[in-house]
Amino acid sequence: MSIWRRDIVSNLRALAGVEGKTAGEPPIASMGTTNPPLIEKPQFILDHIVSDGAQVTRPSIDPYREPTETEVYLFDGEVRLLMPLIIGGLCGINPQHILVVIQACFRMGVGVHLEQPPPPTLHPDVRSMILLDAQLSMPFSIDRGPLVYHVESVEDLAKIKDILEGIGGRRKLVARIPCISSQQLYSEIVGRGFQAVIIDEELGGDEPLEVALSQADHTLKRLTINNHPARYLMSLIAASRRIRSSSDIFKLGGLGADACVISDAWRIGVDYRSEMEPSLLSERIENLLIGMQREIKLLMGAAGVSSFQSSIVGSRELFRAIDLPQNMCMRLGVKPAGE
Amino acid sequence: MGAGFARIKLDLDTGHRVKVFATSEEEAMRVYSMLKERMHGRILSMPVPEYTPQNGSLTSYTMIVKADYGALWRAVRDINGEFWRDDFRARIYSWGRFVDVYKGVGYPLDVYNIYHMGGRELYGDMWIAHTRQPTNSPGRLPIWSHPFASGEWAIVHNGDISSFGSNMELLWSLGYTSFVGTDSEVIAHLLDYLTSFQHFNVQEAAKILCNKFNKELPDPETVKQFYRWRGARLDGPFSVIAGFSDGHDAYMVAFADRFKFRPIVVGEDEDYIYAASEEAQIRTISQDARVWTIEPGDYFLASLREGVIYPGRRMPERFYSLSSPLKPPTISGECIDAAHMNYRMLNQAILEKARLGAKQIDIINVRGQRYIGVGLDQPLKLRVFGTPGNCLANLNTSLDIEVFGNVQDDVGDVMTGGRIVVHGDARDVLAQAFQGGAIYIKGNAGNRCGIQMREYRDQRPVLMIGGRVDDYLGEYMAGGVIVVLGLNYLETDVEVVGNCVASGMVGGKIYVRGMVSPSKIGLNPPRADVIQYLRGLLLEGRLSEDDYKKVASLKDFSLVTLSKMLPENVVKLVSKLYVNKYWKELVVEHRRIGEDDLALLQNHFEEFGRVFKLKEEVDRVIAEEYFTVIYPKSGHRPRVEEPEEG
Repeated sequence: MSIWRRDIVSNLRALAGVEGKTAGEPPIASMGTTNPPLIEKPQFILDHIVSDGAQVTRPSIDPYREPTETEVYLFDGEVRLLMPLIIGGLCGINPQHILVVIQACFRMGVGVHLEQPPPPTLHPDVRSMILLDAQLSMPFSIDRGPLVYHVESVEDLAKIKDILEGIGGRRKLVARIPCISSQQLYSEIVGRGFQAVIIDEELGGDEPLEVALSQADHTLKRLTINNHPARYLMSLIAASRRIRSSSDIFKLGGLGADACVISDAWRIGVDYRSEMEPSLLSERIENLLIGMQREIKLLMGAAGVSSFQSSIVGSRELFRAIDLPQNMCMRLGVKPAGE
Repeated sequence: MGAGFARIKLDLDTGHRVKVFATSEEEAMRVYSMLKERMHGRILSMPVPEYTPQNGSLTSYTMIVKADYGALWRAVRDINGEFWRDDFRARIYSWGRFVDVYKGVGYPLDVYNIYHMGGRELYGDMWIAHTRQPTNSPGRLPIWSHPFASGEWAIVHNGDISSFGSNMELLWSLGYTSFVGTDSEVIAHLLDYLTSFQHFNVQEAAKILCNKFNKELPDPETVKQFYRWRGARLDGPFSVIAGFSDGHDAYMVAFADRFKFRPIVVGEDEDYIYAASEEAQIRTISQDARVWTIEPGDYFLASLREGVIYPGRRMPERFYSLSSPLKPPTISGECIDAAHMNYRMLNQAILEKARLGAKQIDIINVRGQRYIGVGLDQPLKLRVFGTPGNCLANLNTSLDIEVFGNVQDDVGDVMTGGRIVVHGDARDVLAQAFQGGAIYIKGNAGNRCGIQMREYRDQRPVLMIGGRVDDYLGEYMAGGVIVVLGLNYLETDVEVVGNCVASGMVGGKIYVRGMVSPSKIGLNPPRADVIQYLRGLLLEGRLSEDDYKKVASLKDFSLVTLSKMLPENVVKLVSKLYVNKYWKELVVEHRRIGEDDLALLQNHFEEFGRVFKLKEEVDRVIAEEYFTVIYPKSGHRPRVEEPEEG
């Protein structure tokens, strides 16, 4: 079975305005659910996790009439995203389209992850929302935006040590690592002055994203920077091609992600084609992002929460696991349903 | 049931008073020796039992310790951790120098009795009291009762915080390991950590916890501080009253969540400062106190030495004189003295008089009795002297009720006829689902006034408020008229309504005296989001620098403002941020009261002026002042029979 179930694709496309007539509007059909794990077959750990609902003493919040904050801050409060989202998977897309995506994301206050440098003419404000993969040979004077280093081991860090010392403190540094849980690596990352970590399932690793993320969140909470738990001074970002929907982003938030990098999801959602009109691409991305933001707000409201970053991120108590082995629940820090 | 008390006293200090609940003296001695070992012998007293337990419950023991706070904090944590694994046969529940907690299982009077509080001449600079019906913890042991203490803090809490998981994550990361498991204790721990170990002052700590919306944070420094301490921010429903001492002064803090899902009032008279869930509780002690409520997401701070430091509102409350325009009648056969009646007795007494054919009933010494006027459906005048409890005149069909005093929450809920006149202030959720008759409030009113008001055929409810109101005025409003006169704020530029006025409004009309900021009407995206979007268009060359600067220089705007300033294509784009399928366009007019308005309201203006002796003020305001008039674009037309949706 494809991870892109028909209802998931159709929902994304309805949000983006590819299908239906209510672009940007979360479709609400009825109460109840056909979702995994109880109806559809669960495919990932995420599918076994459910969100706690608001109840009598803790009412739900109607995000259409009352404020709910989806904004998240990255880099110790210096970069503000309007929603916990970063667009990635831009490799192989033509430069004109990349610019369109960057611009749409900037308007919507959403981050972008790029593997190749953006056009040098880009305004510094726009550049500041782009997480750019650093090339070791790259001259660092070109801009001041966040730089992403691919780090798999402590040895990798040692190799780029000199570069980091040269630029540290003046740059926003991001470590992009595979799904591994290495206390020592995190300790080095914190010590070297990185301000953010992307845990990227595309880089492999020996753990599922959910576990690696949750472990990273807890590891960074035990490490300190000037006696303050490091996690609260650093950003944690989850990346995977299999992040399918707002609900995945919401649950990954609960496991510790300040934001998620989505790639296939947006391409499928806007029905991306290399020959598509830039204006159409731009509009569909906007619609999709507005729609996903509204979905996240609805999920927050249903849990009686009004701030994503302070109340959802890492807040495992708001989630429960169905049909997950006990040791998995322990590693995630999520209680089994009923507890 | 659980109940408890805490006192804060400056000259209590003889060392840290470590208080333990233990199943037996033996267990208390175990705690003592563990503490002694960790404190290197600096314990000044053996555990002293405070009372003899009944029915095998836990006994409270006290011992005095001289110690560095960090070392004591670690010892308490470790000992509690160890006993928690050991079937909680003992637990340290308070360890401050200036804080003393008395709590147990039962009603407040039971707890008062088991601690022999009456015979001990206990004096304090501040007292906190609490009673509860446990909903989120088992409640069978006193460890789950309020107040919760941590260091020099003692707190009581009403609510169910949805950020609990996040707050626990922060506490774990800071080294906290043992909890009794309620969302209330985390509040005490967070406050203690921020003040004891991070050296925030009381004000800074309270600000972080009570958690105003990001858009209301004043500067990037505050944004950064709140970001770093995001694990200490509280979400979901709460009202909290806390006491604290740093040894030099004793502080009272009260705060409410950003939606104000729970009630809280504060007050002040010549002798005392008060905070409570209900005004009636304050009135039990003081007839003359000035009482007001805290703004949503704000905190109240007072101290023994300085008095009220921050009133819990950005603008200090303005009051009408509380002196009643009418002296309460003397006790006689014609009136009911409610002084010693609970709500059932009082409502029964009213019912009996009504059955005997009374046309007017006076009730004196009313203090917190709920449901007054509920269940009577004949024409009847009730004159209420004092502070009626919540749910006054719910489902009212015919009663004319006049209150000489302030009223509490949920007045006139689902009222379909009759009239309520209040010579004072009203609190939250006034006139919810109000659908016929008139409600006049002389003073201020609270949060969520007139929500879900509706009208049907010739039934059109009118809610008229002489003072100001807080957030969500007329939320989901579907019919009727609300007027907020703000008479006590004339000659100021204070806006007499809070945020989210008319959010989700689909019918009816709202009049607010003075200018209402455009962004306060309905629910608007944060200013920063709109500016971000426009800046994107600017950088792409799709918006001119001039147009961008015009908008960016405005502190406050709405979609209507933008549509007057920006090219049509840009408005169309940016409207995506404002408009959704549930969005209904509101007409907002800034104008004087006209003929049409008077046709609707003339009688009510006259009556309001007459009953409150404010005729001159009302007439002048109608003639001279500008009003913000809000109604849905298609709305406020005579009702025609239409099939109803869903």
